[in-house]
Amino acid sequence: MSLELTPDGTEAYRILRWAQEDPAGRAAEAVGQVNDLARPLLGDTAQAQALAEVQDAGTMLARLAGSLAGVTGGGGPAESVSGQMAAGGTISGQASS
Amino acid sequence: MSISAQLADPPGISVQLDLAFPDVPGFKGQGWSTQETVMVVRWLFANPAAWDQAMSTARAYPGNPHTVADTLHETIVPRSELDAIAAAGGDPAKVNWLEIGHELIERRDDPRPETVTAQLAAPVTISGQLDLSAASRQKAHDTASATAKAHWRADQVRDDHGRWARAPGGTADITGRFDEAQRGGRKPVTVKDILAEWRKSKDDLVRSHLNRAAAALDAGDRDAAVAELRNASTYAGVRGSGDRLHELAASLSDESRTNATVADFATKGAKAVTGLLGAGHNGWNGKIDLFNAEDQPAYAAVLNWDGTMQFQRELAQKMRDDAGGPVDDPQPYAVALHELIHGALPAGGESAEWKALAPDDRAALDALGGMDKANVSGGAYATMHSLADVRKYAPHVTQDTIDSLAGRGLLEKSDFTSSRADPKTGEWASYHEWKMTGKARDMTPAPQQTHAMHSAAYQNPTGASVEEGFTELGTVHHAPEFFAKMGIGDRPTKYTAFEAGHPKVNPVYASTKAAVFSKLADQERALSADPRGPQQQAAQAARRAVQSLNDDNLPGAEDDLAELRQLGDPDVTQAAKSIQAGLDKMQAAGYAARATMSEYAKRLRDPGRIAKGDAWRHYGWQTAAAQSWVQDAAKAEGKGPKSPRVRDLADEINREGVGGKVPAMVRQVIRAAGADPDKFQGAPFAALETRIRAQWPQGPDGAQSSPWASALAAAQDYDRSHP
Repeated sequence: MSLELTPDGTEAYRILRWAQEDPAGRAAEAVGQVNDLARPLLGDTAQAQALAEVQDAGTMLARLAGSLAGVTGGGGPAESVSGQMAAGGTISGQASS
Repeated sequence: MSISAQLADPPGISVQLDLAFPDVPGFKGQGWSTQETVMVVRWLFANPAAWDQAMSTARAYPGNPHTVADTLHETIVPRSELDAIAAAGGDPAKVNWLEIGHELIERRDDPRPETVTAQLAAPVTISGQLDLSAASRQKAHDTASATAKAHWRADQVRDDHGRWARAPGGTADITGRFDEAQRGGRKPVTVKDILAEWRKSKDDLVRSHLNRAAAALDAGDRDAAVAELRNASTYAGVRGSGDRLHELAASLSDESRTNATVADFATKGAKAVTGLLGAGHNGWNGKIDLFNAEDQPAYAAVLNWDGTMQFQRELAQKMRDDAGGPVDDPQPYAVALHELIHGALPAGGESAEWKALAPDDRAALDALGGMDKANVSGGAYATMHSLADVRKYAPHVTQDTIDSLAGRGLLEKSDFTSSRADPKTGEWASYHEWKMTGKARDMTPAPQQTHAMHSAAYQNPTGASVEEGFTELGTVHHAPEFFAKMGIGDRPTKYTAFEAGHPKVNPVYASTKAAVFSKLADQERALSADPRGPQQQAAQAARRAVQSLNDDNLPGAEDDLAELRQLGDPDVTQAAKSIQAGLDKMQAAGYAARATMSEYAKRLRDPGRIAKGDAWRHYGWQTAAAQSWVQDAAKAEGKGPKSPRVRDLADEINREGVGGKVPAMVRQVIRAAGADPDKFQGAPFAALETRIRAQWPQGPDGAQSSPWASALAAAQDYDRSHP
């Protein structure tokens, strides 16, 4: 056992990263893609690790998709105060931009 | 037509007003013999004093239902209520008092349903049940919910004859055929399904119950919906068309029981998690939504941002069907623990006043609070912000929202207008600004505790990795004690137990082996003492059997035993039978002991396994990264990587929601640096957050190290340069 991901897990995380670049535009589509990736793995005990990894990425995507509605109160791109602070921006700077 | 529209103009309402026998949600269709009986039961539930009197009688005369029935009829239920039955078009003579007596006796040890007590505190008259105006429908629905909740407990379900079906340690099964259908992929019953039946039905009474069932299901009250579907099924059954509705009710009932299994587990589990982590409370809102794996294979469970837990139906069914023996698959329980740890939040959180605000009000105050936190005081005082500022973080907030908040004393408008150039047109425009009042600041949760901040933090890839890594690390750390608190820690798993690196011998196997050994030795001694040839041969077979047993070679021992039986001596044959029974018992028990749930979970929390992603096999690299952080933090305190302090430090982070985890890590760094936390208010604190996020592992590579050292050095530098 190592930290290396299975090919399916690697692909699921690739989809997750792609969605994280543009959550509002991609999260919903990405959930669908990971669903398609996970479906053939269901019930296949030989693929249990792959399914676990795909579901980890899928869970993160589902929470990411859900977070959009949570922040904006109804979809649309969400801006994160803490995220922008972490990125080095200042609130006052953004407010005046 | 939507449910709400139907409630406004219910299709069956005019018919309901003309009912000769008004229904009593939650009872009819569960086995009561007459509608009049239902009306009396309904009245008992609605009148706490009468209920208590009836239950006291049942407890006093558990062996004599006739006495209970007579007491009910003659003493407890007043004449006026029997008159009301007649006035409603019913026949008081049709009340089956004995049936009620039996029921009360059977349930005499049950606690009185608190939900019913609370909901039906005000006395209800039987005649009052005829008041089925639109205004009272909601009350009727609430009553149905309360009564149904009281009846439809996960571990106690009525069969179709009104009897309580019980199954020790698990749930009663009244709908086996539908369980099979569910396992075969039957879709859950939806409001749409019920409305389809409503459209098909020509019977106004059936339609009225279906209407209520749809409304209840739409409101998320499956139990009440089941009760109404059963009502509809009963009435439809009289007219020869109830099977389909019965199937719907049974299927929904199954769904309800599955849902209740997870909800019951999570309710108990949320308390356990709060205790184990030392958290303030849990953000799970008490709701469970089940989904089919085939529909959403991408995840097993998710705690939504509104606090609802989505849980895969197949995992939930495993929990529901767990009858108390060996646990075939511990994963559903670990998954539930993981989700509950996501819900762990610090004390405080959102006040009732805060929760009572409209979503846009909260969003506006959240945004203002967040902006204040970034001002030079680090949020120590409020600053002025425009609507445009607010809308950057809360796009749905309007001027009306701001005016409304100001009108309620939550915002204060500036005395002057400001102006600035439109970045696109270059034209100057004036605008107003507002700041939060003390009242608003008092009711607004700390920014890291708001729903908006948690969900926003998860949009940052590192925020999401940190959240999942620490949550899974908490799952791994606490699973053994969590299982014990949930009462499943001693349950055997399918996994072999180990002792000092070797399989642990099953105690049943070991004790049976000792007994068999003793019996074989007795036979060997007796036969050896007999000089006859056949006996000597049998003695040799007995010796071989002893050796086989010693080697745990059970098939070999059986072969040797067969030779003993061939001797034809009745006493030896009888002893051989007894020995064979022992061998069979050993075979069934198995050589190796099975690890219990807690033992198995303890095995998984070995730090070496966690570092390799080999614990519960979820979030491997994120969990390894989280462990690296807390091991480094423990090392800074002089504690080893396997010390209990590692878990304490992880708990400290897991007590925070998503938005609070990285700030908690920063606090650990400042503490380890021995610096004054006040010195880090505002920008220095944010800079440490930024550093940790920037250096946090983004995948399996580097997940076995952490940015602790870098963050600690930065904190120490800042502390030294700002004496």
